[in-house]
Amino acid sequence: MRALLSYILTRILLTIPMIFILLTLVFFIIRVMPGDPVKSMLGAHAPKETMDEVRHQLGLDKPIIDFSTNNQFVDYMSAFFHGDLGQSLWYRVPVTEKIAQYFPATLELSFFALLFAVVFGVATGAFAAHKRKSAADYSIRLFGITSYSIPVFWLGLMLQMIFGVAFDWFPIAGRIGARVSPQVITGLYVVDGIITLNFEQVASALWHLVLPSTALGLILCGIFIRLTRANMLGVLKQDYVLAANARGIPKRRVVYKHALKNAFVPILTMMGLEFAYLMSGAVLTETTFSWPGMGSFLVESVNYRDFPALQGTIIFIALLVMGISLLVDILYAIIDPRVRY
Amino acid sequence: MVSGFLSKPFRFFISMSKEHKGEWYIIVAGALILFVIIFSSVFAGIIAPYGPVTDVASPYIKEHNLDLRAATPLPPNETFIMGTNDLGFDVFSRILFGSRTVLLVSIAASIFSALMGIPIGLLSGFYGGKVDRTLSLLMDSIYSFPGLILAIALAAMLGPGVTNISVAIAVIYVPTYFRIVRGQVLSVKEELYVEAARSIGAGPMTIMTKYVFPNVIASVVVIFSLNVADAILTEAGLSFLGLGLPPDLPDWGIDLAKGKKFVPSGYWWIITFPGLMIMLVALSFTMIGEGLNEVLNPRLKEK
Amino acid sequence: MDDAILSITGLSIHYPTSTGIVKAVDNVSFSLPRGKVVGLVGESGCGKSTLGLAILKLMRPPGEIVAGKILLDGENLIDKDEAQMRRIRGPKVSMVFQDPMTSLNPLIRLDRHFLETIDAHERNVGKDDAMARINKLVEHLGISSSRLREFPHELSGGMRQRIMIGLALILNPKLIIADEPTNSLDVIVEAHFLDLLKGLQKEYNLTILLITHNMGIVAQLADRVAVMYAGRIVEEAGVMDLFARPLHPYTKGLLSSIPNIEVDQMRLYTMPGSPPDLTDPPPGCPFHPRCPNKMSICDKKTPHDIITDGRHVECFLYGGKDA
Repeated sequence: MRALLSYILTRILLTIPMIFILLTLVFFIIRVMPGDPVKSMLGAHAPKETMDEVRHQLGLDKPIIDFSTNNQFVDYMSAFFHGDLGQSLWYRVPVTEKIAQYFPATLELSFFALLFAVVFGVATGAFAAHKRKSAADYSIRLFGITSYSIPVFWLGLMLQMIFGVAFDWFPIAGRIGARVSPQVITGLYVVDGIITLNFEQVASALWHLVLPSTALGLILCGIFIRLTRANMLGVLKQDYVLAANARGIPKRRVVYKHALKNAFVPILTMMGLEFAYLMSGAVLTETTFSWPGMGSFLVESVNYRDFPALQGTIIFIALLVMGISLLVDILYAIIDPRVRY
Repeated sequence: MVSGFLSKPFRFFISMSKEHKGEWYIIVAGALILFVIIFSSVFAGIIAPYGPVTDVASPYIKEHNLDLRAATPLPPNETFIMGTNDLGFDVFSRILFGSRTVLLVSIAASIFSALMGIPIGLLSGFYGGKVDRTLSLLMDSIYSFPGLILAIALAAMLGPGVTNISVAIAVIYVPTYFRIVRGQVLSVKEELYVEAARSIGAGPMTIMTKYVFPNVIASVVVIFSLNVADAILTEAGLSFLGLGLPPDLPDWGIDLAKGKKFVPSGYWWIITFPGLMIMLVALSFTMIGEGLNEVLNPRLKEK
Repeated sequence: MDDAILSITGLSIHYPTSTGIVKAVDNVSFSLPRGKVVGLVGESGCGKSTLGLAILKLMRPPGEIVAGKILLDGENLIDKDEAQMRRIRGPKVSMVFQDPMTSLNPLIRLDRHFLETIDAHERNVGKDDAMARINKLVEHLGISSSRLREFPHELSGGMRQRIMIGLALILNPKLIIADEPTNSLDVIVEAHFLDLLKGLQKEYNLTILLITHNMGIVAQLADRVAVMYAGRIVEEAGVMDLFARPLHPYTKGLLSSIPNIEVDQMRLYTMPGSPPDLTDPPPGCPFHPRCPNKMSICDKKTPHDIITDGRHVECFLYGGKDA
């Protein structure tokens, strides 16, 4: 137990320099970006005095970095450690406020997409391993490889065309029907609907989630298919599976307790690694489905040259990815007793 | 009968293809698709029936006395096999010319990444110590970051243009090469024959070029192929978001972004074909990469 | 042998592979007398492990039994379906494998291994009763029961192998198949382990099929020995007879390859050649290409069921030429 705790502590400490590097990287990428944010905020014809005044308010007249403590980099870092990601130039509210508004939408979409990918991927992967070398196995593997190559936004558009327009089964844009006014507590419409017992909201939110999370989930599931199949095949060949069979442990228990438990460890790790990929996919999916989440906000910030918003969003996503990978590593250490550093 | 100097490589190929029959089918299928696409992209000027930015629909509509509003964009017919878009451009011609953009950007980006990632990985793995730790930390930071989002930030920073977008995409793949090369170097370094070479006085340059690099090459070929596939999707994604490429360029991602608004109208041909092409090109590179991976790294092969 | 707990007749096991059919076990007959230890020896790849697994019908795929009978207490296991076989594995026949590290699930605690084994066969045993039984057995094997809460990797190799023995004994089977049980142990631990095994065998009146390539272990533990070569049992005898007077040229070769400090040898005997490719075994007696006593008949006919002086040996040197 102590070994586990010290492992977790070390893992957390190792994350700190990575956060610092990322913050620095993001800072410089954003600062050298061409285009004057103040000009695009106020319009090109605003009087110079007004521009200078705004620039001063935002601290943009300071040097980007120098050896004093009064420069943009120091301001940026100290603000970050006070939990301040700056002020959106376009919306004129704190970036954290906008993130709080948009993030639940992304979380909801990602959750259902990942759920779809893992359930569908693990099930088909296990089935392929079970029916090894059958036609089903080959088709499933082919599908797995193909799914890496499908652009998620195109898949989204195709689903919209087929199931949204031609069949008219599912909505193709937004998070909730126009006639439903969602009650917002957590910002996750499905959860909020359940909490407030507003089942019309739950139904409408789920209905809107079908196409985007299927598109994103199908893109993600290839890796889970492949991993589950390979792991199940590997584990089923292990000596302890043979030994369990030799003790007369029922087949179902051998497969689902012994094999799947061991096969699940790398799948869990993959879920952590896939999270970064999931975020990339989410940006494209959100744009395709006019989903009001972090991805839409990110693209909007680029288009409006709202660089505090862009910077804040990127930092937030980076922290999120790191947090998830930290969490997965810790879970991994808890599940697999052999991992102790 | 094959004789003389040809027989040896020929027999080698035969034995390889026997051992990895399935893999070779995949590689050859991928290479065939890729060949057709590269061929038609190089000769787009000859193959394409029309220019990529020529309004060919209006003359056609006039000629056939069609109702202008009901007819645009034209669905696929015998003149325009993939239909036309809202501006009257021929979708098929745009697809042919668009393949140039996507191939150019993704291959250039992958070459950039390889040229940066391989030497850094070699150095880092070979010299170890502080240099290695710093570089690894930097590379891990980039690697852990969602690729597309980093590319968005870089593309926005660098401004539009084919070179800029290639660089933006290149940066996100540098860690891939770095990690694989560094790992290989670390393992090769421990091999007995390398230690033996060192003990008889082989210098670092000799060891690098003679022992380390040849071992790394196989992995690099595989990574490169998979990397191009991924770069194609990233390029298409950036164009779809309206970032990086000038909007008048024939490009599949841009065409999809423009076609998005026609989903409710049901103009399926504007959307279906460019997306299919993105998938096909990415798939061909993935097939080649995955196939080579099985052939070149047999220990990874499932028994 | 009237009171055989297990008797195998004419058993053949084939592995279809891309290069042909591997006859891993080829027309094998032998039996295990109740309460005795029978050593099954041979070089690696001779089919002895496959034979061991075949008794429980657990050959690794794609191996399959193509002919023969396996009679356990008079019941033919070939006729049993998978569900019936499951109920035999554990309570009637159990196995001890070579490598206890890989034979225990690394993610499952040791006590779970025992509990699930009991649970799989004795539905009505409560957890407390089961635990009491497990603790008693494990303590008896010289392991503190407090260690049962640990994971396999936390134990030493010798302890893990004792746990494997415990798992094999927990359901009180009468027959144990031990496949190279000391392979992964060092010499000192091996000696302790063999003592323990011998003691347990006496105490519980176990029948043990001891699969090994180590003649020394056979000499220490076994009552009878079966020698296997290229998927066939070439000689079977009581341990004393076999060591004192080996008949088959292969057995002679095996015995002279053992270093012996009592005999002043200048060099150790090594058998020429290597075991045959089982997809394409030589015609006739599979040993003839390496045999110092090869006769003209040997590459034409396969010796079968040759009995000399009450001993079973598959070699034309001892008759059967005109059969």
